Amino acid sequence: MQNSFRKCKIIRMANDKPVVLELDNLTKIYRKSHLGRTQTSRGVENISLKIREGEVFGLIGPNGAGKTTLIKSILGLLFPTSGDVKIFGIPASQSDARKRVGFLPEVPYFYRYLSAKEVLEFYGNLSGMSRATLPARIEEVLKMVRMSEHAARPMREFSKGMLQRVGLAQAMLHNPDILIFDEPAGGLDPIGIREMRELMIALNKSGKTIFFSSHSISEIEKVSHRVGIIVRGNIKQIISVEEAHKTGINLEELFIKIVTDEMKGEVK
Amino acid sequence: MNAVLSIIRYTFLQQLRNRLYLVVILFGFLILASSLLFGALAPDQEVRVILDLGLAIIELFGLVAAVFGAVTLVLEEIESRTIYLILTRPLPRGYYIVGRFLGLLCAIAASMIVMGALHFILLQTKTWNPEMSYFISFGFILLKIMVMTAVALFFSLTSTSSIASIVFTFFFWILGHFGSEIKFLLQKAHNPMSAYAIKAFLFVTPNLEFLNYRDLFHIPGLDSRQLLMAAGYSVVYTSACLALSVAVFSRKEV
Repeated sequence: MQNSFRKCKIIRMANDKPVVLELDNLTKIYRKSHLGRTQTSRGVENISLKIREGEVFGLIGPNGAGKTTLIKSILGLLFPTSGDVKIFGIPASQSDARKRVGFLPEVPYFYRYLSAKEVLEFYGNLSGMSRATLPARIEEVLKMVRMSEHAARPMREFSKGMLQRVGLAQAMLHNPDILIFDEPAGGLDPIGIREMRELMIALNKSGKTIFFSSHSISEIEKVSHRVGIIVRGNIKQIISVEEAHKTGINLEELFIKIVTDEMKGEVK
Repeated sequence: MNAVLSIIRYTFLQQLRNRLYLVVILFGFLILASSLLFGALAPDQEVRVILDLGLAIIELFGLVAAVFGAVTLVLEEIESRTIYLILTRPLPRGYYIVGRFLGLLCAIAASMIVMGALHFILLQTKTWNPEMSYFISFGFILLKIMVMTAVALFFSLTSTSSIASIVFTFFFWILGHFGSEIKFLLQKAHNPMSAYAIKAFLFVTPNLEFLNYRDLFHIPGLDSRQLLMAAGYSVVYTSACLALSVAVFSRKEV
């Protein structure tokens, strides 16, 4: 654990760095209508957050807490009921906001009959990359995720871990400044989890901002500068990992306490 | 532009991988079988029967491919979640819809052109003299299918069920061929409300009879101005459907 905390101190966060991602009172209420009856459920509620350049922000919460809703709202896949999301100052509703964003979903779904190289060519074109630079960049990212020798194989032959690597490759392809990962270690074996962690640390060292969600407190602790605990659609607490370490706060205990208190409140 | 071309190319290949060519193979069998059958049953009218039947089957097969292709075009991507990695790119949603539509249209047009070529070759073996009106009617079948693909795409984005989208599209297809009957109903409507409703209906449904040159095949000297207007109508109707589809999809959450 000590070792992991040391890793977190690799880059110290400064508050004077520009804001990369800004959430202002973000609320998402789901509405479902059936036979004239409308049911509502809360996705996330009044979330305000600023992520600065070079920061690694980990979002942790139990199942159904709103992690994926939050990430989808940032990426423009869901539209906020109220509040704003800005990426590099551009509203998330505009496609230009995603120019400098790389996204890795929890389970990356690809066209199964395309090869890894074809998939990356496709996404490179969608990202507006030039035909001149794309082939070299594809080779580069495939090498980074150690998939070079599988470049010509169709995706349907890949294991979950291999798909996740191609997912990472497509997220990094257009050299984005902010990477958004939804449960990046989900379903990976221990070696895969370690590789993912090391890659995230390396990406952050190279100046990338990372916003990611996870179920695993230990993983979040190992790579994040700050951790947000989200329960029932609300971010209950944001903690600096370094400060937590200095003051002896155990993140796992804190997380369990917050979730338990929330559940008790719900029962009352 | 590069992004749209990429989506068109991928959609075209996807349709081929979804075995759209099976439609062509089935057509080949059907037209050959009917040729043998009518050759034996009606030797005097064999060419005429193969001509009419062939064009009708091309249109029907094109319609089936268009409706089923368009209805699943976007819904399939939402269900399989492959759409996440597309819409999270700096790509306006409208580009995605236009790219998908054009890719599907290219695949259907390609399969219809192959069917048309098979049909043409078969007719050539039956001492048929090619006429310009054959190519005109074939071209308008393509335009009709373009209109119906756009209609099916629009319904697939507004409806929550594929079955409902298919039913609505076929409903529009049938109504589109009954424009003159609807106009007759309009003349008979005494209630102004009914007249408005019928007028609105007439305005919304595509006038497919306007594009139906298959039945006017034998009429000599087709009016080129009318042909141009009909082609323009199909492009305008398709564009309107696409614009509505883009508007709906821009507000769709995935």
